[in-house]
Amino acid sequence: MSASLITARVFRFNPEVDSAGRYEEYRVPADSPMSALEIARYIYRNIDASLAFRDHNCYIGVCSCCLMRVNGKEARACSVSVRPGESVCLEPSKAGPIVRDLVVVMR
Amino acid sequence: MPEINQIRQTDVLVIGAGGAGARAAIAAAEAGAQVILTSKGPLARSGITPLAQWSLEAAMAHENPADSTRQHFLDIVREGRNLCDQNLAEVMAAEAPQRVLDLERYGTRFRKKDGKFLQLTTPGQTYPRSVFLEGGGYGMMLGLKKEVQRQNRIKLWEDVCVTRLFLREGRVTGASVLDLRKGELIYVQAKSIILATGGNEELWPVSDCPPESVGDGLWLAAEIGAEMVDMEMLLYYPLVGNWPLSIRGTIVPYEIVLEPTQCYGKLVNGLGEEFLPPGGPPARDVIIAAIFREIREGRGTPHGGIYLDLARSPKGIEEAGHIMSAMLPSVLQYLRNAGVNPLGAPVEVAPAAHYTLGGVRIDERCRTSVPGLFAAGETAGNVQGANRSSGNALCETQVFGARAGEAAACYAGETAADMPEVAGEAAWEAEKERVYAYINKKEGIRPQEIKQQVKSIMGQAVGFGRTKQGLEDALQKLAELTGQMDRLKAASVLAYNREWLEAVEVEAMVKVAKIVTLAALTREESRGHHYRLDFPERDDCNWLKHTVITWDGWEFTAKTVPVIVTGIPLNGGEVAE
Repeated sequence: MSASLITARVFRFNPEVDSAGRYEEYRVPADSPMSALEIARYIYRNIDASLAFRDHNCYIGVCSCCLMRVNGKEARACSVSVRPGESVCLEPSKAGPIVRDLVVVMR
Repeated sequence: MPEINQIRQTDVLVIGAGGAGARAAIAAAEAGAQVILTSKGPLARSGITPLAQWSLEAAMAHENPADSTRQHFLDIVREGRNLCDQNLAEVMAAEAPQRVLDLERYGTRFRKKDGKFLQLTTPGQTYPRSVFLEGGGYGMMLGLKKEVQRQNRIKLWEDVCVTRLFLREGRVTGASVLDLRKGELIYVQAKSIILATGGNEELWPVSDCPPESVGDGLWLAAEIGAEMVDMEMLLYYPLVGNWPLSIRGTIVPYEIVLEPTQCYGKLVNGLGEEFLPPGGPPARDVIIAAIFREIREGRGTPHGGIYLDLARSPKGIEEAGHIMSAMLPSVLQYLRNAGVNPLGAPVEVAPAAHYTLGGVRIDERCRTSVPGLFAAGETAGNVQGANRSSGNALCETQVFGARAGEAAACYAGETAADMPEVAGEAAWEAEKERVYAYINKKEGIRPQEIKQQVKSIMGQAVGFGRTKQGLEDALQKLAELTGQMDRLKAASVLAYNREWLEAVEVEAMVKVAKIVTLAALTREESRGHHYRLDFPERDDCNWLKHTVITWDGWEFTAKTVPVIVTGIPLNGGEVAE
């Protein structure tokens, strides 16, 4: 895998129309480390405008609005760094029912 | 708390659930009103309030008994460069202490010292006055969230965006609300409406506020004829993470990192030179001017910022590092998670749009110029004036949030005893068509493209250092952008469509940008956070006035109104104490 790419495997699911979720793979150019949230943002802005995710809110990693499973583990996506050449898996948090893709109802 | 299915009617509709909106909803519910509280995101995890720092100003006089609400009032007016409406400043100072006690009762935690509130000084305070919120703005929201959930008359409606307000016979009757989860536009009949939607920092290239802070709530008010006051006043925060992108938007508190009694770090330009005078950081506007000068004159970093260098602290890097760990643990952790180590290398930072001092014009009961429409918090305009000290923004949310809630409940109970008639069918159908059109086009322009163009125009000509020519050019460019609005297209999906929200937002963004630019053209002097290169002096003879911009349905008009003076005579501009 090229050192200047991050491969992101992202869970896509629209409960309104899909019977089940699926994983899409995205190749994100990266010369330097990116947070998991940056990666989601990049995909939305440059590859797939239909990706549903909760974008930045507090910018200091305290509010948890970006909570999702990153590589299987619940985490604030803004605070998990992914290096060029690595791959990452983004899935919705289990904290609440899925609205669409990476967005869940937050309590 | 009840789940929401279809909402149709309410006494009070509160738009925005940050510090002011949540507090307003609580006050309205306590006054007996049925309340719907809307938020673009999850309560306490959306809006601008969660990123606020620890400081909330209130003259508790626990740290220093010499402090008083009268002194707080004087400080607000002086720091506001005399542009505050004094009736509002006086109320804010007088009621802040009680609002702090309310927050504590709700469950918000404050740092205490021997059972009293710990109070620290932030620049601009005569006595140490800022109480210390554990968890900052996010911590404040946690207490408010508990109380909102406890109040049975509040229906919380999250992940929605209000797209338009409706009038009937000159007073508000309702709103159209885009439920983002379902992708459905719903009409809400409301006897009164409170706007608490924060500011419009995202009009500029870099802000420290969330992406949705575009000021679309301000356009909701302006569109139905509310007067917009002092919209030219833009407060930058001096040090915000600039590069790498993973730290862009993160506040790096200069009050700690540059302060001689704290980290005592240094600002360094792209050539490795320190450029501030020796000693402690000067006033906020002076630091900002100095940083912008370095960048403008070509001595910035490769990404348009400057460096914060803790290694140059006279205390040494180890001591500076210890202090930063103790005082700013969240910021330090966040930077480290992003691969940035302030203790190992200089950090690239730059000023970013932080707070908008102007907004919807209100009176002491938060009434706007439109009957039934109220505003509170950053959304309201004539409270802070041309500048404010740290801690007065959160203070404003609590004092005026409470007042707006009480006043709106009162209005709903007395003036509008019957539920107002639904907006005319034609107006409602037109709004549905407008909003659904974005997702039904086969091709068009992405909202983010227009957004970037707005940011570029505003950053170029309506940021720090403005001229008549630059502002007129900006208005021209914004007019050209307006012509592209009917080609706006969002992705075609109903459920939680970010791009659909962006389309709604960007259309309002262009309008708010025009209001700001027009206000900047109108004020021909420099005062506080409005700096005209062609009128660089403060002019108290002619300009103890607010700029007021109004939309009449066809175009914007500009006028000025005098500042309201009550308890502090302004003799030729000098504050008489």
